Amino acid sequence: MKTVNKYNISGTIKNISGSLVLLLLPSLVNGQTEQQVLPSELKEQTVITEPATLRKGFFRASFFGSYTFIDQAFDENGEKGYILSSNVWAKSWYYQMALEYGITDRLQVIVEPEFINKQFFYTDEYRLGAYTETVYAKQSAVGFGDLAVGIDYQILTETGTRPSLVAKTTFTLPTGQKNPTGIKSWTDFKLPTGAGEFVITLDLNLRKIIYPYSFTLYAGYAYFLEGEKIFSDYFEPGDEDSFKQTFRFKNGNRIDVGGSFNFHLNDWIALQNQVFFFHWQPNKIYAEPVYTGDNAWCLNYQPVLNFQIRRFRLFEIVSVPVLGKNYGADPFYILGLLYTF
Amino acid sequence: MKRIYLLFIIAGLISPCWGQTGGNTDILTERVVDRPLTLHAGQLQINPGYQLSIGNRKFDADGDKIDLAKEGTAMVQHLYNLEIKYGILEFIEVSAALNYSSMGVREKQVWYFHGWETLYTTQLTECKGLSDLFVGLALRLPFDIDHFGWRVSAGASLPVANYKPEKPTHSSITVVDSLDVFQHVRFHYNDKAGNGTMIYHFGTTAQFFTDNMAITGWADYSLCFSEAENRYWESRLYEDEFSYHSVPYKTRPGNSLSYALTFDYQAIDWFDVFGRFSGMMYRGGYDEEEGIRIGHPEKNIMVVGFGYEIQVARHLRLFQSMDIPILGKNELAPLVIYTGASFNFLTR
Repeated sequence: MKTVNKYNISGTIKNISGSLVLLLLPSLVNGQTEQQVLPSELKEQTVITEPATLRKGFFRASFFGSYTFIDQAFDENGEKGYILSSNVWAKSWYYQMALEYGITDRLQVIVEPEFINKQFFYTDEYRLGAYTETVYAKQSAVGFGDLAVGIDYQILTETGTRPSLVAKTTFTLPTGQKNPTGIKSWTDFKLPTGAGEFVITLDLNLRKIIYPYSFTLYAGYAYFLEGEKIFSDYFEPGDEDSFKQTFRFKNGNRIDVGGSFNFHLNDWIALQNQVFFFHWQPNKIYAEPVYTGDNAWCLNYQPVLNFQIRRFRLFEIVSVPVLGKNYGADPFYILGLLYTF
Repeated sequence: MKRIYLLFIIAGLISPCWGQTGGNTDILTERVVDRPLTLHAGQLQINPGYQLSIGNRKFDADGDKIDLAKEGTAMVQHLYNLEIKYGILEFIEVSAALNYSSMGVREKQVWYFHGWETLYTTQLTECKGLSDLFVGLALRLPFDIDHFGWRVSAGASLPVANYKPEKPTHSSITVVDSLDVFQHVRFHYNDKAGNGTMIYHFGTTAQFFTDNMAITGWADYSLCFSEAENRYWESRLYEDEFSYHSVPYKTRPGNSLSYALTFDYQAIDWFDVFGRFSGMMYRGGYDEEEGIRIGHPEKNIMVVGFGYEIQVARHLRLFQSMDIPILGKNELAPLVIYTGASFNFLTR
C-alpha cells in the first residue's frame, strides 16, 4: 500500500514535470535558435535590420543602373513645366558599382566606379524663303565616369535608446574623360563622361531601428574644387581654335539634408520612403565675361523597394523631384542588385 | 495521459508554422493560377498603379518604325490609375476605374530667316487630366470545370471628364543673345484626356490552368454610337499678342478591339511570373467640320510584355510589368513600365 502510494505520488509528479517539460520544449527550441545567429544569417539582414556599416571582414558588391530623360524642369520661379526653349531629348543610363568592405565593425571603405551611356538629340528646321533644311544632331557620351572612394565610420553604434551615427567621407576623382572628344564641328563631337573636378563630400547619417520600422536623418556637404576643361558651349561655328580652348571653372558647392521612414512589408520586403533636399550654389566659368550660373535647389521624394533574398538584395528606386528651382523635374529610375560575401 | 502529451507536443511544434501556412490558405492569398476569373463574394480589391510610357518610336502607315527623337517629337506619359473591384456574388463582380494622365509632345524647333529678322518657333501639345470613368460588370461560370475558367464582361466609359481643349497659351518673347536678337514664338496647346461620349465595352476571358501554370486569353471590343461636340483653336499673332477663336467640329471615336494572351507561371506560392502578347486594332472614327467628314486612320499595334506579381502580405500584392511594341501601323510605340499594388479585403 505504502509502495503503491509512493508510486502514485512520484508518478503524479513525474507526469506533471514531464508534461511541463514537453510543453516548454518548443519554446526552448525557439529561444535557442533566436540567439544562435550565424554569420551567413547576418549577411541576409535587410536594409532595416542590418548595422549602419558592414561588419568586420564582410564584403559587399552592388551593381545598379539608373535611367532618366529630359522632358520637364523647374524654372527660376519654381514653376514646373515642359522645356520649351528647345526640343532636346535625352536618354541617360548610368551604371554604377559599389564595392564595400568592413575593416572593423565600425569602419568600412567604399569604391564606386561608374559607366555612362547618355545621348542627347535635337532637331532644328531652317527656312529661308523656299529653302528648307532640317538639322538633326545626336551627341553621346559613352565611357567610364569619375571614380568615387569613401570611408565610413560609425561614430555611435545603436543601442536600445540611442541611434547610430555614421560619418561618411567621399572623394570623387576626375578619372573620366573631362573634355569633348572627336570634335568634327561645333555640333558634331562626343560628350565628356567625367566632370573634370575633385569633389570632397562629408555626410552624417543618424539611424534608429524600432523593428519593423527604421528612421534616418542625414545632412551632407559637398565641396567642389576648381578645374579646367573645354566647354562645348563656347564652340564657334568654323573656329577650330575655339574647339581647343580651355577655361577654369568651379561648380557650386552642394548642401543636402534628408530623412527616411522605412518599414518591412513582410520579412523580406522593405519599403523606404526617403525625402531629400539639395541646394547648389552657382557654377562659375572663368571665361570672358565670367559666367555665373543660378542657385538651384530641389526637394525629392524617393521610394525604394528592397527585396532581400538570402544574401542578395534587389532594389528599385524612383526619385521624383517634387519641388525645385533651376533643376530638372524628370524622375530617375534605378534598379540595383547587391550581394554580401 | 501519453496521448495528451503527444497532442501538446504536436500542437507546440507545429504552431509556429500556422502563422505561415495559415495565411496562404485563405482566399486573399490565393496563388495567381488558383484565382477564379472574378473576385470572391464580399472581396473588395483596390488597385492603384503608375504607368510610365516612353514614346521615342512610332509606326507609320506602312508599319515602319520612325525614330521620334530624330523627328524631334519624343515624349513621356505619366499615368496614375485607380481601379476598385467588388465581388457581389461568388461569380459576379463589379468594377470602376479612373486614370489621371499627363503628357507633353514637343515639336522640332523651326527657324525662319527674313532679311535681318530671325524668328524661331517651338511647339508643345500638352494633354493632361482625368480620363472618363469606367464602370463594368463581369460574370463567370457559376460552377467549376476542371482546369478551365470563363467569364464575360460588359462596361462603359462614362463621359465625365473634361474633353474640350482649353484655350492655347501661346507666347512670343524676344531673346537677346550676346550677338543677335531673336523672336521666339512658343505654341502651347492644352488638350484634355476625356472622350466626350459614351464608349461601350464587351469582353470575354478564357483560362486554362494547371497546378503551376495558366494560359489566359482576353479580348475586349469597344464601340461608340454617338458623336461628341468638340473644338480646336486657331490663333493669330499681332504685335506680340495672341488672339484666339475656337472652331467647333463633331467627332466620333472609332471601334477598337484589344486582346491579350498571357502565360503565368507560379514559380513559388507567393511569386508569379508572366509573359504576354497583346494588341489593339482601331477602326472607324471620324471628325466632321461643316459637313465634311474626315475618317481617322486605321491603327493597330502588337506588343510583347513580361512581369511578375508578389504576394507581399495577406492584404497586399505588388506587380510590375514591361511592354515592348513589336509591330503596328499609325500608332505610337512606347515602352511601357507599369508598377501597381493590389489591396484586398473581405467585407463579409
